Amino acid sequence: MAGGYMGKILFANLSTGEIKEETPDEKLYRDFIGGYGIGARILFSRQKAGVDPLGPENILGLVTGPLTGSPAPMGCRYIAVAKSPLTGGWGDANSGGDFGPYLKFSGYDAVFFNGIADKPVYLFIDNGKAELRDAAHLWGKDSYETEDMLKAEHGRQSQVSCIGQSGEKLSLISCIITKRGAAAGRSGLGAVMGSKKLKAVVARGDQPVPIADIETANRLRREHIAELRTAQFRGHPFWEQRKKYGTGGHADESAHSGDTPVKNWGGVGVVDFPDPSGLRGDLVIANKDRGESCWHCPLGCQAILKEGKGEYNYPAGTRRPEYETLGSFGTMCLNDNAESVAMANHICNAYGLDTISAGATVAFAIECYENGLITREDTGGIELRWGNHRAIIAMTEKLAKREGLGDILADGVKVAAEKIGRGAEEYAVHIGGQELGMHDPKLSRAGTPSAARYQMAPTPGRHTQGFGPSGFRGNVVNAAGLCTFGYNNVDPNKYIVGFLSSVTGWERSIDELLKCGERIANIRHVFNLREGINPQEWKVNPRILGTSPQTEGPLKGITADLETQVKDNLKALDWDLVTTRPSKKKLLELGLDDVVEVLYP
Amino acid sequence: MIKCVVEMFGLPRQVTEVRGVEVGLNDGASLGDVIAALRHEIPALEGPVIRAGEDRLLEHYAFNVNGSFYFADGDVQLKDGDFVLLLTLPTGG
Repeated sequence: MAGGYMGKILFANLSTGEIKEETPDEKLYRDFIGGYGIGARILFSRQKAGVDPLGPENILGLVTGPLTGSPAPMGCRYIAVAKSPLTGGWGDANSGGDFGPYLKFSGYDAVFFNGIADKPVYLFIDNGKAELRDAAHLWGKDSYETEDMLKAEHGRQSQVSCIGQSGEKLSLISCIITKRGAAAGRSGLGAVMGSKKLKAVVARGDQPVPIADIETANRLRREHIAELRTAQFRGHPFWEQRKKYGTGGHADESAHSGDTPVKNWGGVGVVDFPDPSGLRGDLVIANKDRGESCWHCPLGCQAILKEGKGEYNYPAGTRRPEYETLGSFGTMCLNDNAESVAMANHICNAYGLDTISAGATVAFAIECYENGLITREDTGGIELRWGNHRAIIAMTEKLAKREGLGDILADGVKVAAEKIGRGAEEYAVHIGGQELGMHDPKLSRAGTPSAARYQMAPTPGRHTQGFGPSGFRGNVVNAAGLCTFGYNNVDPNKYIVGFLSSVTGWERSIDELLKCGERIANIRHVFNLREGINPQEWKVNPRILGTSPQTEGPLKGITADLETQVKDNLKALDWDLVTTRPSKKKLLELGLDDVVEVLYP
Repeated sequence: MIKCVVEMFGLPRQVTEVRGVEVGLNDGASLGDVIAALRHEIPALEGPVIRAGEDRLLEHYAFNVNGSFYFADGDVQLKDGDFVLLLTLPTGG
């Protein structure tokens, strides 16, 4: 077996309790690398089309990459995969923390679950041995309590990935949490875990990740860190900025630059949110206790807050909110109160909610309220107005607990709009059911498919994934188990090629690796096609594109040219311009012969 | 001689507290010429947004010209009445 891989994958049937390990053929690793590459390959092979995402036949996977737990800086990530209950198509969610490396140290590259347990369980993996254990004492607990209890039971060196109450209650915007706030956020996979009555996965072990050429890997690590330390970002040292603020150092600026969507995608920063200074970086970090990092990250871009002492009494240990959360609960809601966003972050992390979707859903609810579609009676007395941070927090709590209107909101804007009716659909900004990341695609570099990626990526609405050939390298980075923050500001090809070669022992050029990235793009996409999803048919809320352009601000007059972006990239991918089906020739070129049999019967 | 309005958003507006400025340029002026004009009209931009002593933007700033985005070295020849925005590029996570 190549370096970087433990060479074993666990499969747990929660209905029968059977757990078995498999030793995959090396070809699987070589062709699909890891993460959602391997995840999509396995799900496409072992799961038929049309299964209920919350039913026993949906397979949930937690999948690492070859660089997870390796000397590669930021090699810490794992990806959760399953059919998404939020979109009905391919679902994946990428998480940092320590869990990914420890899954490997426990002896496995990945663990997959099918079936549904009779009663709540958790999987305990201990140095090559795995068993399902009773989770009755954990069910109903939030993610913090769950992690604390399991670490108390299994030791501080065990790492926990779990759901909070929102996943237990099958909120379609719930997520999987580790380390009190490293979230596998998108695609509603917390609900998949909850539907299986799987509360947590605990990984403990000390098995080393084999490294083919440790000397080269360590040398590259030193060079990479040295280069990252001198990289520039917006005129300032990248390292210093990230370490100090994380991604949340510029939420105020982005509210005006056209980057962050404003007022539920319907506003203009300089007009509707004239003073976002309450979200500036210094205020976001004002209550910082200490820095925090994912496993062995040399940078450490996260932070832990002290107990909130003002109006918002979030507990000590709450994570500092990042840009996406500041965007969704801040600018999208016209909320300039940074402490309230920290509180929202705590609620989402504890209950296990995706902060992007949750904040966007609250913004949607505000717009419904402001336009009379819902009333104070519906909100339980909450005056859900733009910028009313107390109301935003109160409604977020209701959403997390599925109380009152929160029960309607807990499944995201698409479902909420359907239930509210009365024209609420106009305010539901999503694609395929998933709310969008906090980057307006109208603010884009010429020639990049920034709008197209939201519609056409296998998990729609994702700001971290590409569409078309420009997304292939990102697929390699993600599948390898790397954090993109470490590879956007240095020579990516040198380090991606270098680390993958030195760790695995497989000498591959960037072109060969990009071919893997292309293969991964195709297998994830054909999962959707097999489900009957053609992403071109997903409705795109006109606010996203600026169909009626804004008349003021940096995005004045701009309509994103979605059609051209999509068409150009479909051609480049060799996917049909109408059906988006990859050509037979392309699938055979990528070695996806079994997919040809499905798509070209 | 042409006139272009350069409007600023995000950090460029924050550091200067100036919303925008009209600059006079030669026909067919480039974005480098715009930067030179801005250095003259709004010296506070030099350092935080414009490289000190140069007619170049710092990384991660870009111009939007009539709705299309360009970096400072983009191949653009400006015309009278062109609308130019100076922006920070997308950041965040």
